[in-house]
Amino acid sequence: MIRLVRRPLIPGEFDVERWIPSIVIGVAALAWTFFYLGLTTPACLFRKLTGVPCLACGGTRCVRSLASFDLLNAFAFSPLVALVAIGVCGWAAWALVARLRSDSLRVRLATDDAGRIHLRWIIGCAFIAHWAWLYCKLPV
Amino acid sequence: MRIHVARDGAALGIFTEAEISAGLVEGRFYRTDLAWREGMASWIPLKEWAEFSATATSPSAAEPAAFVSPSELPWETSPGLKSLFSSAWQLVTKPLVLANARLATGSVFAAAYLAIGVLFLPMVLLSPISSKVESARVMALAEWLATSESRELSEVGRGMLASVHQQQSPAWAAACGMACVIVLLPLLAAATGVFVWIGLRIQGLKVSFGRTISASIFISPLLWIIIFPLQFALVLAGTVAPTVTWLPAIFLSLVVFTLNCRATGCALSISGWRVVLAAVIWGVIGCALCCCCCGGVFAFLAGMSK
Repeated sequence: MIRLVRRPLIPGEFDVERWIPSIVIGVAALAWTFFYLGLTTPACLFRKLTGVPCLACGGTRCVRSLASFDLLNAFAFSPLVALVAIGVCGWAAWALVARLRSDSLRVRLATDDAGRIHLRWIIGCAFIAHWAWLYCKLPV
Repeated sequence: MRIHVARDGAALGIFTEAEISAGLVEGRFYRTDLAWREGMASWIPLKEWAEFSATATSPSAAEPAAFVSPSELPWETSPGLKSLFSSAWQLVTKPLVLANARLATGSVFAAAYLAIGVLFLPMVLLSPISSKVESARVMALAEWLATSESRELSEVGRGMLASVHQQQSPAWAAACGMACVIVLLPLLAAATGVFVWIGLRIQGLKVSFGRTISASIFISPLLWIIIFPLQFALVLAGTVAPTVTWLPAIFLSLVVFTLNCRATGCALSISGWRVVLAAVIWGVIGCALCCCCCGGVFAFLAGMSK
């Protein structure tokens, strides 16, 4: 079983929600400035040498598309980066609302023993599928 | 309704009442473990749950006293310069001694800075020479790549040559740089500990966050003490033949890495291979992301400076 739960923080647990809105806003501001100045990252050395994309190939183009709200292209360039970026932004927005409402409950992924094994398989398969997508579809 | 169980600030998972009762008897759970179920306002120890009052008194449910056997690490039995050296030697010859070491934060920082104090002057004095040797090695590799038949490799080689020429720094800058690295080493080691902990968590291993960082702070500087004479010899040999000694230099780095992983594994009571895997995970993530991220930052800075 894998499910999202809203629960109080465990005593001693790191309060991610306290920091995530500021981190996301800071990173978004940096990314926006980066693209606004017309800067770009160097071509992937791994791909240049081997001809095969690395797991992060297409990431910059994906974030650039996300910054201009072009979701379709963002998913085409790097589905996993797009999903993670949108997920993190959603989590940050929720954390901000929760903080404003002084909500003490936190959203966390909860699993039982079987769920943990399933989760590892899901993450592993997601990486393989993502890489296969990049290998077949990512333009140079 | 299922119950969430946690220990040391980390969730262990969701379990049924029957699983928890059985776990308390088998020793999988301790009566001090915290539990929470939907609708409750906070986490409560299992011993305070009416459902587990009977099983929580079982002897196996008692939390084991932390590090019952006394620490055999010389540094922890009698802190001093002599015990620092013998602890460093034991990291190589008998790393299992770390398994029951306390690795208290203050103690590991004291050991790290004492090791740094011992190494500070020789390393700072050696750094201008080692910096020249490193440049010569990189230059030789860059020249070899630049003359390659592959256009891509040749471009990479030419780029490296250009950057090596740009990076020629005076001896005092190399010494200052080394001094900064040495002073910051325990903090860098702590950051490495965080990465190792994340790498282990990715593998599903639940190890103590604080102990992983303490182990990292303790092990890295002490291994430096052991490795330094060899490194010194290699740098001196490098002044005569820089290209010949790069292979032993890489080999030495691999040896240090192996010793570090083995000792960290012993300190956390896990296989050293798990620590190697944690490093490999970060190697893959680092190679994938660092090229893009650092390249981006440099391009950004280059753009700003124009």
